[in-house]
Amino acid sequence: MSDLAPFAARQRGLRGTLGWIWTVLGPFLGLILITVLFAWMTRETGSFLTLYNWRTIAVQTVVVGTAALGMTAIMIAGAIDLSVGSTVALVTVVVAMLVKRIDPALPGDLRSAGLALVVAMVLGVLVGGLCGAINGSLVAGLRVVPFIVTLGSYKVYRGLAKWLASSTTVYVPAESKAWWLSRILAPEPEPRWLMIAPGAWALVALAAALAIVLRYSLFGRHVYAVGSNESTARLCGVNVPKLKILVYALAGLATGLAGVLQFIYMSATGDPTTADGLELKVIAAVVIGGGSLSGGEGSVLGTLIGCLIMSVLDNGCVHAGIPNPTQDVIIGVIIVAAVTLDRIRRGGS
Amino acid sequence: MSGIGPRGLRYLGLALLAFTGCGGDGAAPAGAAGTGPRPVVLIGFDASEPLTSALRASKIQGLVVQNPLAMGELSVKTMVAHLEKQPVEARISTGETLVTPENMNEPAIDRLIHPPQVENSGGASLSGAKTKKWRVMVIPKGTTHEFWKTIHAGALKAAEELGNVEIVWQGPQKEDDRVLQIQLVQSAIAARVDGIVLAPLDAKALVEAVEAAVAKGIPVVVFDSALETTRSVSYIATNNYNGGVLAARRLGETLGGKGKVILLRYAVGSESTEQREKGFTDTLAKEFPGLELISDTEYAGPTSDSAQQRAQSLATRYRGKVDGVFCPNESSTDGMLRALEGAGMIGAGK
Repeated sequence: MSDLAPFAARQRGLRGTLGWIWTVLGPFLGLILITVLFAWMTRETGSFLTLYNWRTIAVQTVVVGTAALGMTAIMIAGAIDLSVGSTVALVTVVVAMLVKRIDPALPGDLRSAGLALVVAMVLGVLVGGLCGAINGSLVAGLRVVPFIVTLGSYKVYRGLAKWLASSTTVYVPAESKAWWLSRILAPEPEPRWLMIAPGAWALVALAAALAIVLRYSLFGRHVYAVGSNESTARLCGVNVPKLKILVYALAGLATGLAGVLQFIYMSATGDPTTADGLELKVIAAVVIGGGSLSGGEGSVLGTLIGCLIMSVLDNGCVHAGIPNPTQDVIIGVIIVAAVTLDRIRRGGS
Repeated sequence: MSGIGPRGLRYLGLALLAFTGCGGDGAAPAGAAGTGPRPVVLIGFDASEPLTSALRASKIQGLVVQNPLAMGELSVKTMVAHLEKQPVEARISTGETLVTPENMNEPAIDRLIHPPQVENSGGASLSGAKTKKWRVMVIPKGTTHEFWKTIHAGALKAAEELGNVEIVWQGPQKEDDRVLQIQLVQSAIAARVDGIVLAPLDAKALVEAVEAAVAKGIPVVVFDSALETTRSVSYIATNNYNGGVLAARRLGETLGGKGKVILLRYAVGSESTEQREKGFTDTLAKEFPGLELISDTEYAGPTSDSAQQRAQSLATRYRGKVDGVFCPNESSTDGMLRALEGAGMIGAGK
């Protein structure tokens, strides 16, 4: 740690508390602006600014948000992961197939409790972690740039998902769906005092944990260090290959969880074609939230706000009656605008 | 049903295109330029501009067409009837018709294969205040396909005739995007529409979203493809099984009851096309013992491109051995037509 002291000092100087507030405040202002805009556009019905709709938005943010947490860590470390969507699809297929395999073998009371689902979902998260660890090992071992490595695994994981599922959709039989499954992502949670869906709370908790790890742990500071300047970090004694594998594996776990949530969102369906292009949505959310493709930048809170901006746009456009093509254009413009503003604010560095 | 979305548009640029966009335009197999084998009888499903012109040129011997205009119209009318507390039927069939090169110029048939269509910009939106008594959100499987534009026209026709309902038209762009369709149903609930008219992309994955709507007091009419729930108001669709029966009879009669036949299936899990395939194979087995099904295990996949690739392999493999082909939806018929044309196995001499 002492080797890194000058480094940490520089980081503190550059990204002091004020800078950090700025980084988060920028996207946050954007979110408020968009919300006000949609509220104005839907002022006659008022359907956008209802509690129910915001609960719906929370549910619609969970999958992207969970995957984006992993991507935040990867992008801070100066890398990228294009295989997120494919991993999510692979995980939905694996979970659905495991439930179909395990559930009939269990005794009755364990079946009704949904033990098979729990086991399959835990294994699904681990499959995501494995996918990430493979990505990380290839990046560190082959010394090929992450873009290319994960472009490869983007195809490989998608192919595996289709191969496992015989290119079709894997359904979990109704009797294998435990009563609690659909509650995880129900817009109106039970019990009511939860306010938002349990899945959304899981995202919040995970985000808080990641934020603390990134900000206060040695590992977290090393991630920023490697992303800011890899050779300096190496000279300071950071085991860069090991760190990259670790970051990818942890991010893979988050992606695996996103896959499990996607499985739940689709009423327990394993779909090898799902989440096509999710990686780009996730990267966009991180970038809007202040992340940088060249590493060393980004925060968990910023990413979450980025994700919210994306899903408020998706949801708001429906309420405002804006057709799909226009939505795509708007989101594209916002991505570029957000990053440009960010650059200007930093003095064009 | 008529399932193609926009062909995989990826925005990562050339790098990804190299991975995903390849395939499709293979050359005709060697020997196609020769005298050519006997022409193959092709029976398809659904009408689009290329398919009807191929029908006119007798490259296709029959198309089973649905009536999307009636489907869109009846769906909205059924929803409004339910909202006004009138009894409605739980299952409404909108009919299916066999179009052949001989009957395609009859006015009634011509209306079916050249139905009115509307572009996506039309209709009410969720943003404004309700101007009519009822606001109904219609969610198709996709918005790009001509079939859905006709559904849209039917829905607007119903709205115009009834006068007390406004249509909000919003669908996913890709016809395999279950997640987006679930989100649309959720948004419809949040926007407190009076009713939802839905063509579910998936018989199972949409169930919970629909039941959440019903639990919130918003009735749901299902059209085009079935949904595994008992809580919808009504199910309005083509009798797809009967469509397959019509196709099998046409193929059997054109071939004189004798020959070798290929069925290019669409996709596993697509309820409507599986019904057509079943109607086709059942009828072959029952009514045409002289027709032999030499291949029924291949799947065309979701787009014309994927269908064409699969059809090309089939055409090469069964060249000179096959007499008739049935494809159960528009994209598979389209791909098969192009593959057979490329292989010189169809209509060249006419």
